[in-house]
Amino acid sequence: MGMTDKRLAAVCLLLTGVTLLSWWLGNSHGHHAFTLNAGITLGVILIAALKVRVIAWEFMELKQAPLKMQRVADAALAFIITVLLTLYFVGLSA
Amino acid sequence: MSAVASELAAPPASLVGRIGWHWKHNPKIELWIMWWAMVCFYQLFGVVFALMTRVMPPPAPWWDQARIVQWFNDNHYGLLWGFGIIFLVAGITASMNALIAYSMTRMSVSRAFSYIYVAIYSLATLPGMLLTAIFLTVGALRPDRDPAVISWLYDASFTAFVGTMGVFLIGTSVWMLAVLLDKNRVFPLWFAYLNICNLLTEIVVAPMWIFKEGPFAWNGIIAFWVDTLVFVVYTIAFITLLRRLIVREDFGDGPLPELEQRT
Amino acid sequence: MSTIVATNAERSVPGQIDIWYFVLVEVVIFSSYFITYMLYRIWDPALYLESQAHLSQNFGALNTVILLVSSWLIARGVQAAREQRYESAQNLVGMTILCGVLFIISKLFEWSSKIQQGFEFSTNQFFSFYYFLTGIHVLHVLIGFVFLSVVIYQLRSPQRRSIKVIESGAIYWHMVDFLWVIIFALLYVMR
Repeated sequence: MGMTDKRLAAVCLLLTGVTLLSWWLGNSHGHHAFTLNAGITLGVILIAALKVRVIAWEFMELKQAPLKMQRVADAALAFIITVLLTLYFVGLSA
Repeated sequence: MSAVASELAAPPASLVGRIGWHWKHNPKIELWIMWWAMVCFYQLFGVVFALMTRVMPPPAPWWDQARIVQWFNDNHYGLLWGFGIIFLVAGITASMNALIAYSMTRMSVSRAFSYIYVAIYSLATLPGMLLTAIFLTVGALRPDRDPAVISWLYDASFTAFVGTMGVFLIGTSVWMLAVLLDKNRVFPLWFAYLNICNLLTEIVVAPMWIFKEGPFAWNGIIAFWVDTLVFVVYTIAFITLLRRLIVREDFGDGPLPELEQRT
Repeated sequence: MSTIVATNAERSVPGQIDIWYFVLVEVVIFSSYFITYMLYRIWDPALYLESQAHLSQNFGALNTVILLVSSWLIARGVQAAREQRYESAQNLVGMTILCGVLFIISKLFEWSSKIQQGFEFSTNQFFSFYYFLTGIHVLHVLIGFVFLSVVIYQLRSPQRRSIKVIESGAIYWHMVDFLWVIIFALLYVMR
């Protein structure tokens, strides 16, 4: 198993672990959990953003792509996450 | 057109002279006529459907009969004049289909691709605009009919306009496949992938048959706005690429020469 | 774990640039779906929360793990192809397809159990979004099978084996993966 294979395995483990964390967040209080909860939402969406970033950087190999591509990717991810969270919190306060 | 240029020299300076020269000597003149016909048609389509008849963006699917009858009254003249134009010029779409089929005959793929494309797209004007135009014109010209019947025409028009996409789905797939298989590099690879986005929109519209309101209705954010935006991007892309194809065309059958520095 | 930072000279576009344009357009389209979902959701959060309670969190998490593993497999497959271990690359891509099939089977189970419980496409707005987003995503998985088949076709013969085409197929598959990650967060776990 080469260096790259080890790294890929570590990435996969990390992603699976983080998924289980959001699964636990969504499941931890049984069926009483289905009430508005800004903390869970914030955590879950940020975890998703992290996962997308890791998939793009490690699996899609953006980590060694030209800087311009990396900037576009980061800008797109930051944009969508910001819009989603802004909408959510505007909705909460309305 | 005056007989200005009989020599094969450079085209004369005056506009009329230039047109005359190209008419006689430019081997690509037929392709350019097709291309301009396509561009003019899309402009006209936009003016008629968005400004004159108010079909795009579509009015609400949830209106009651009285409101629908009122819509026909409000847009009476726009509908008649707009669709009058469409009935006259709908055939121009054939130039677009021909040009796209031509692009496939220039590829290294079988002629069958362009035949399929022309065959499928000869049907496209019907669900794409003619059914809508016919139904709405009938509604506009028969205001004395039962409002229930008028409402039926209204529903039929907009479901036909937004929701009947099988023709486009298969047609787009055929073009995509040709671009993917082509070795002459007539179109860039990204255009093949863009076809996937366009053909998926044809599936995304399907829920509008079920819903009268919300994002999936015929005027909804997803079924109408997102899909239309993708279609507009797709259309601009292929019109630009077809122009580039004509510029690059060498009337041979090997790989199409690349564009030189901005011609 | 090595942390080698690529210098500018070593930087290169993974796969064909064309597939990245496609990924960008797809990201824009899906973002518009996600934003639409959020817009409608904040309009009526109670309905969405109540409907979410009927989704199976376990299915959602299982789907996510299946796709993550499949992404891992194809990433290893690309690596194997680079090291000219074509046999093992083929096996890895084959296992990726298998994961995709598993994903679709589990989705079919999930959908049919929802329908049996009476939650259909037109039951309410949340379920419209649920079936729409999961459905359009499954379509992308199906298209992914075509991409992966091309990758296997490339790997089979020494005359082909274009590493750029193989990488592009993998990039498409990873896109299917990360789109699901967001769908999972928005449909299943956010509150």
